[in-house]
Amino acid sequence: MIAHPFQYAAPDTLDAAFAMLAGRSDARVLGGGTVLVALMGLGDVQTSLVLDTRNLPLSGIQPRHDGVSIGAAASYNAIEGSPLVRDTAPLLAHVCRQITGGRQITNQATAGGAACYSNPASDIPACIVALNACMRLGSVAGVRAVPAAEFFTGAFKTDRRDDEMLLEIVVPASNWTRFGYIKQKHATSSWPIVTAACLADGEGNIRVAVGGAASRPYIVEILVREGELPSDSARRIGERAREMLTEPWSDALAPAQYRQRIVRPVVERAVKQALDGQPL
Amino acid sequence: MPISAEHKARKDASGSIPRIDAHRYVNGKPVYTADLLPLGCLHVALLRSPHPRAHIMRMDVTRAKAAPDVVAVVTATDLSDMAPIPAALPFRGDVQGRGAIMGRCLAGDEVCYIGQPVVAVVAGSVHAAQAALALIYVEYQPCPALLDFHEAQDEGAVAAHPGWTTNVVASDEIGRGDFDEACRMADVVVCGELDFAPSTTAPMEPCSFTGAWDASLERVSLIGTLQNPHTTRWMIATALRMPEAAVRVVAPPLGGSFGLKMAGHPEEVLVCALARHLKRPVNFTEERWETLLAPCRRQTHSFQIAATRDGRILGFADRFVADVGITGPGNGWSMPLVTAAVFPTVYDVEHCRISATLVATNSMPWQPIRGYGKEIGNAVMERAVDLLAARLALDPIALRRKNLISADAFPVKLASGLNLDSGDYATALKALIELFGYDAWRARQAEKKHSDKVIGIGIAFELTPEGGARPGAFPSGFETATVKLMPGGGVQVLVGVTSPGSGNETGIAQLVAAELGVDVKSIQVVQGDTDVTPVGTGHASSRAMLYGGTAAVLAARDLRAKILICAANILNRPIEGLHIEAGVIVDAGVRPQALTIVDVAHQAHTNPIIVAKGTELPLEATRSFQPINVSVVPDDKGRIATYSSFPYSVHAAAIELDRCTGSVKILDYACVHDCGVMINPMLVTGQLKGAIVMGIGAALWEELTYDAAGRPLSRRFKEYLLPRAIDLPDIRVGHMSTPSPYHPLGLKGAGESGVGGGLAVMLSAVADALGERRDALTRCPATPPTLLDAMA
Repeated sequence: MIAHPFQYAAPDTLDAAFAMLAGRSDARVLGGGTVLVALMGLGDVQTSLVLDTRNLPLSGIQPRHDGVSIGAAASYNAIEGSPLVRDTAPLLAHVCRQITGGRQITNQATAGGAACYSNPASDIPACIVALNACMRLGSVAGVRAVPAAEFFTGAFKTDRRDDEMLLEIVVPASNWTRFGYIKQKHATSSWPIVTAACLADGEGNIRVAVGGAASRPYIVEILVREGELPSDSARRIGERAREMLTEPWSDALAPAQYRQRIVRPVVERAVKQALDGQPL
Repeated sequence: MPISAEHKARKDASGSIPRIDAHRYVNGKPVYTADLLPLGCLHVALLRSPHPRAHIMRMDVTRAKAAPDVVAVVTATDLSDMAPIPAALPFRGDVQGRGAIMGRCLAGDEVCYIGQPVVAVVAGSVHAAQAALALIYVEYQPCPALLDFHEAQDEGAVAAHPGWTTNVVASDEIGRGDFDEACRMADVVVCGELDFAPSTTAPMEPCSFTGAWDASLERVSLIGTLQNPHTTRWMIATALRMPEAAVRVVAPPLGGSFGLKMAGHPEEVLVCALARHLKRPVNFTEERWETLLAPCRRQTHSFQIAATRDGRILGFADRFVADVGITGPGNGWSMPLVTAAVFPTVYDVEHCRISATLVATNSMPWQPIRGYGKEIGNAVMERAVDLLAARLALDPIALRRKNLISADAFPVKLASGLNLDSGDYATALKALIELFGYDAWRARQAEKKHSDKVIGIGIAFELTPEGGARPGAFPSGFETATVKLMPGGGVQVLVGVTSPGSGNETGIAQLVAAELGVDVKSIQVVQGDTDVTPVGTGHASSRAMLYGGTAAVLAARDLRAKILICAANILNRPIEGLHIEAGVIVDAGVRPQALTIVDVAHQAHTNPIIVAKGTELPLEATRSFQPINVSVVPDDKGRIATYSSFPYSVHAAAIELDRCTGSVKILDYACVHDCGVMINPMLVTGQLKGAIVMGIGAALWEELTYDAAGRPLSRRFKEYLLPRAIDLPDIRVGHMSTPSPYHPLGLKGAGESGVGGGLAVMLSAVADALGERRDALTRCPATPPTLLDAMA
């Protein structure tokens, strides 16, 4: 039960939504509500305004000349089922397919909402950082674009201003031909502890985004110079991922030390999965 | 599997029929407490203490009182006319410096645990009540609290309970033989430690209580999530200083319970006090985070097992401390005493020395949990046996086989004085090895020995003392049933045991149907209404069939005799040849009669002078059942034995341990279980599987966590991880039946068994996967971080 009183609005134009957010610091934008409503019920989030995105034109998934645009209010199911996403960013479709909670959650929850929540222990941040996605944010001041790698500024923190809302996640087309995704968690109901989203091109170039290990995702890459033959890349990337983790994240399910210990094998497995898998 | 003795319940009573109320559940129709709110019902929200220990210096509730839709804001001062809630299980013996239990609904001038109710807001909606909590001002002066139970017995430790000068709640020393001598005779003495983190019951339905006041009768009523309605009635009557007859307690179907809903929550009594005060119905329903407040199981064990080189166990010792928090009116605090009493479980160990100390800390009172401490004792015993097997390089099955109590030795006394009724542990183990495919699993384990993901194989016995009949507990070692033939020919059974949704009403109906010779569908079982049902304990300690079902059989037999007298009068035939089959009166060796039990019922009520000649109306009988295999008079060691029935089970599991991440996947699970005669094997199997899953959860994932200040961090199912269906393998179950010689139907308790086996076998399997590092597992649950630590 949500104890505190608050205003609820479901505007049907972006301009109306921007106007409501303008000048406010404690409004909350509601995507699917699977996080926000639970936190309001626990009293962890108190807000004067809940702005529901349900009537806004934000749930579409559209082609862009340079990739695919995923509306901020598109559900995991919609993303996973989109042929466009499957073609352009199969890693994202794959990640959306294995969100914890089954259909009841994936029909309701949104990737955009998960991105804005910026929980280190979640799937979306590392996935879209790996994909080099771009976050488009809107407000009365206009629209601006922020690379995903800069959008996530810390645990439960993003570059989004209080008067802004996420409009879309743009995933660019790329030359990656393979992917791997490892989500390490304690049990089915657990949130992810460490995730590794890996992209590879079959020529030795490999890019991994590590989630959950630190308070924000970080990238580990091997880019091959001409003439160089990659060898033992999974182990090398895993090792580097561990070295780069200087301030591991900690939460109720796993201490920092645990994350420090498992980051190497998790990354290694994601790389192996990508390299061993069929090319796309 | 052998059925080794005469089946003493009527054979036609047994059978895996579906639950008689199954249609309601599969159609989503059961009516739970929160579905039964009366018109105009008010809602309560509780302001709970944020401090483990503090003085309340000042309180201001005026803003909350003025808040929209708020009807009343109630503090301890407003309830000063109440008596303390009495203890469901009073302390036994003397402990120097121990005072009274915490029996008040709301904290007075001090709080002694986080979550203790301090102020109750009553409002027209849950929302208004919860919103007004933020408007209450309480000035606390925090004072030193006892949070770490390891410090509870230190010199100068803070006394957790206000008014106590000790933190010892209870203790027990159990000795048999001479453990020191056993160590001298032994070739090897293995030591180990095992800590259990707090876990909880987590039923799907949180606690909910609705109090109402009937002004015309001057009665209070409570509808609630209650396992022990008669105990609750007594608590309410005592605390409200009302006669018990002026209190009615009704327990509708439960959405899971597992001990949590046993009597003793301050809220049970509080809503009645509020309803009487306001003259309006009042409901309190927990939020999920409140349901997760109730901790249990926190214990730390240090054990030793002594044996000869060839694996004969000579002695076992265990010293443990349990953190039972603050002692409230419920009986949850006593669970570790049962932990101590279960040693050395199924093993024939001559020399035993068990030392248990239950200490208070400034944490929430324990509520009971399925297993009731027995699961911990079994897990510790199995851990000791496993470590011994590893030390002696013996197969854990061979070591167990060598030390099991032999089938012809019964009755056998445990060190605590509990008298084991019967069993055939060796045959159960043999059956399990086949069912599980032990050798094949060991072969698979060897193949994967050098991989990142290794296989661990666990074996564990569970001995489950059931039918608790503890002197001083309210109520205790008896259950009562009334069986009625209604004027219209239907049969009604009123019984003091209640059902947590386990299906015991179906088992009771099966027993009565068989005794009366009628269809099970003609039987209605009424439970959980103190105005209607006989005084009883409710459900606890697997007593529903063991006691309640037996009382119903005895009553049904008396009723059958009355019915046959009436039938003899109607037919003008000698009673000796009459019996009832499928609802028809049958005259042996003569022609089938057209007289049905419906006719007899009608004629007895309409033509009593002729038809009921030689018997007494109404056509009903009330009987009570008390167990015989208990002793409540202290023996020469001062011990009493309060469990009458000893079902057991043996479990095997294969798990895969990821050596890189510490995570565990369960590959296979098999169990052989023996609860004596079974009335409905399908329902027994269902309960057993559920219990096993609870044990698996407690072994691998379930843990209540707290920050350094004692604040709970586990507030929802994202932080308290329950097993889900896809975490679990198919659990393969085999049943044996070794009837109890002490029970008229050969029954042993069923329904609770399995938690201890599930817990112990998972720890056993995980330790087996750790191989050389098995000794490093000293903590439960064996979460991935714990296991990675053990491998480091």
